[in-house]
Amino acid sequence: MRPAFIKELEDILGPGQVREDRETRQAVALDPEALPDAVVFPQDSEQVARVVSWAGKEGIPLIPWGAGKHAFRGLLPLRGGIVINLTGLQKVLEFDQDNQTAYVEAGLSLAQLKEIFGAGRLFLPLDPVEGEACTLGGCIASHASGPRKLGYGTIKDYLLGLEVVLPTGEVVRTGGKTVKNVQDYDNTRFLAGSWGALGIITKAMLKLKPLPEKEVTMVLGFNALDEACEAAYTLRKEWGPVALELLDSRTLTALENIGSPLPGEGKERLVVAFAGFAEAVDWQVDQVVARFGSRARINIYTNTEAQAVWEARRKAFAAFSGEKGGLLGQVSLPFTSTGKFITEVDKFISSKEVKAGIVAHFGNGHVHVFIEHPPLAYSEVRGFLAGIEEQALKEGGLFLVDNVGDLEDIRKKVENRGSALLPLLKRIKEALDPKGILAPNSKAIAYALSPRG
Amino acid sequence: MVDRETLKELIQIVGRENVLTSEVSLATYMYDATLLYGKPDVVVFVENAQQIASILKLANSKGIPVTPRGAGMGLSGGTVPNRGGIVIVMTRMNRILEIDAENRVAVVEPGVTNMELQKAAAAYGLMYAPDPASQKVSTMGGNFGENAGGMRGIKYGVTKDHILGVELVLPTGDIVNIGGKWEPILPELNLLSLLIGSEGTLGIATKITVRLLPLPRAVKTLLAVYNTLEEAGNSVSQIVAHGIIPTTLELMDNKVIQAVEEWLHIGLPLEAAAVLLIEVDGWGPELDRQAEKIIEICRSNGAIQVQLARDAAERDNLWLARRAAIGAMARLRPSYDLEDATVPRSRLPEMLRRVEAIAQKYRLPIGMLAHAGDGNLHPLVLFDERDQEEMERVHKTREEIFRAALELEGTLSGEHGIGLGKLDFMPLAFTPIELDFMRRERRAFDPKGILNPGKFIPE
Repeated sequence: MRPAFIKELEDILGPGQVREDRETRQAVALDPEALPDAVVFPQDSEQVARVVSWAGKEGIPLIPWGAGKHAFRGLLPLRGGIVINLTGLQKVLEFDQDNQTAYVEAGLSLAQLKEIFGAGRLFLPLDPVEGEACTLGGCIASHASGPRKLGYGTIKDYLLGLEVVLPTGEVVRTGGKTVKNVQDYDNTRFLAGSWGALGIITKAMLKLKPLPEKEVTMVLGFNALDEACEAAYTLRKEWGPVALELLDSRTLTALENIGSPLPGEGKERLVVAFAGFAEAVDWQVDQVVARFGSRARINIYTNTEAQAVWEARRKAFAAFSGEKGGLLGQVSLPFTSTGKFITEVDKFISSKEVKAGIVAHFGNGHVHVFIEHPPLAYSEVRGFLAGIEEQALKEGGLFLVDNVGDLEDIRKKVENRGSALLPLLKRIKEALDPKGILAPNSKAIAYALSPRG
Repeated sequence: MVDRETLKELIQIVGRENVLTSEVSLATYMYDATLLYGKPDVVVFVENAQQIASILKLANSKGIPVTPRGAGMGLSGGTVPNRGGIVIVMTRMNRILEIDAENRVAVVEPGVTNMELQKAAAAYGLMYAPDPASQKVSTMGGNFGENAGGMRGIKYGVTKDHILGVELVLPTGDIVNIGGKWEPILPELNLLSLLIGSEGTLGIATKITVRLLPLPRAVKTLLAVYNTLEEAGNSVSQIVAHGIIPTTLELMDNKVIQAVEEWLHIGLPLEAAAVLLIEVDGWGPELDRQAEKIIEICRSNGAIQVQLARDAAERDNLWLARRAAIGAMARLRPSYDLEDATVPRSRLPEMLRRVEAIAQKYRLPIGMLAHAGDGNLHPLVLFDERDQEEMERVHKTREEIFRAALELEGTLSGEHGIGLGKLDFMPLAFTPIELDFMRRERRAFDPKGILNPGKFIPE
């Protein structure tokens, strides 16, 4: 990067907050061959705004960055440009226990927020498998959720308002502090999942929930996958768990192999969480035991033991991605077809030489197929992926490999919903980011901007 | 503005019998549930998305204003054709296309009323959570456009929390599908959120996919009576602070109590300053303890009486007062204005005090209803529209209520929308940069500015 540019950035941010060393740049690169020119570390939204204005003036791409935990899923590798690391935005501006809201800066991690809110017996019910090191801003930009989305929804359900630095360098506030609020376009939720393409989220007004009085995790083990699927179906229908996950035998073995076995017994397992008032949770657990006790091996966990179960669950993708990397296949389906899809894909995997496992947010009809294969060489397993996609389509679902840059595939799927969508998305991006500097590598929009082909 | 040629084309699109131009017909579509009005040039009834697409293409090419309209129950002038042009009436698109009970999803056309959907879902033991007070008549398209709220907001959220997808005609006349029945996994901009509550400025919904929830297994309903508004307001905050999120926390003040009692004679204490209607729902085993805790909190905050409904009939009876409230108040004067300024829950007692002071200052009767759990206040201002001097006081009252709400970290509108009614107050809530930001978004959807022009975002 030109020394004059570095100097100008240092004038905005102070010395030491603009880094060009290889190690810092490599740490935020999605491809070892495509590094940014610099990484900058603003400490407040005003500095963010000044950096954005400056980048606009110079026409330099800016990529917002938090803990970098989700980035591989939503951003394409990009050579050059400046990564703007937002972890320095650490202030808690307000924690309003009476209204169960908090106004906080985007660089705070989920672990930090948990501690702060927990002191008031409140929590932000967000449990991305990428873990508690994720920053709030990153979770919003990536529209994060985790196994508990069945009971609690996603990050967007806990956003009342945002402070956003627009691509023009202007600062706006969206939403407000009340749950009911219709005085503006819902830009608060609109920015959730934009992967940095429309603005840099610097602060968020969060709606919090009271910590549940009691929480119980159950691991139900079954001998056959179809039995597990059938039980999962009944569980959602009858007793409203907050999480309902399925892990197949291949995933359980892979977890054992990396030294993180999932607690519990049984070949194919469901991990189920109930949370709420003690009497209700006790009743729910009793009901499940009464119904499945004779058919499944049931283990019941609370507190740290329960945490260990979820800790192992979070490692499922790592158990396949290992050293060489893995493909993160995603399928969304009608809930009623989820079991059928899973048992069919299980047979399909058995018939192939590829190492893969199935993990499902069963209650949401959201199935992951984890495949041991380097993402950059994913074309080698195209045939395998096509087989899974075919099965998904047959059950009325949609299939996508999350962590590869197949823009043509995304474009096709979006275009299927109306050819006018692509020009509309392009107009929105141009209206908000006329210079096209903010996260041009955001997958949420890149397919609508790049030339076809 | 709508010339002969345009009329001819409209007739070609929907048929002669579905194009109205007589003075009487036009007058019928001049207003909504506010006192605002504006005359359209032509009223068109549509039956499918294709017709709407053709009409919007036509309007877009000629720059004709278009106002989509459901039941006309809006409370902010959103369906008032203030610039003339074409009114598109959506009420004939009123089919429930699908109730997929096992997947807990329904697909409806926009002209279906909220209540029709509730009834259809209830047959499967399910519900559509948003329940605006107008639900018997208001349409799902209107609910979508306004992001309608309701009584269950504190626990179940509002319209935007329950919409999964929409088929939409863009102002350019293109039909697109956004969201869908199943988990969204594509990396996409979240257009759906932007559209819900966009007050018919970004597109016209032609098919709406919603999430259904199981009806709660058990419900408990309580009514608490207070000598002061303050005590009622404090009870609300403390119930929630104790980790109990009721389904409903409705507050009515003395004026409302008197109006209801005078009309229905259901035994409400006429001297009470406030009553709270409280409902909790859930699985069952946990509710007794919650109800006990609520009774304890209400009593310790000064409730002079707390009733717990023992059966469905008693429950209905407790609800009667709330359901009849607006009708009872409306009997007292020729006109009323129903606002929906909303503040953070803990600021509600202060907001109630301020509205009382404003009522005294401008010598206007104001009854107060509130979805108290949401901090969502509905001051009902009573007046006679024919009295010019009184109307001036009404306008000042409204402005002071909005200013008070904003001062208390609240919003101009919790659930009714901005429309025309609150347009002038937008600069109080937003900076010029924020307004410009929203204008740019709007232009990206509607480059020619034909859809509901002059509403929601000041030009």
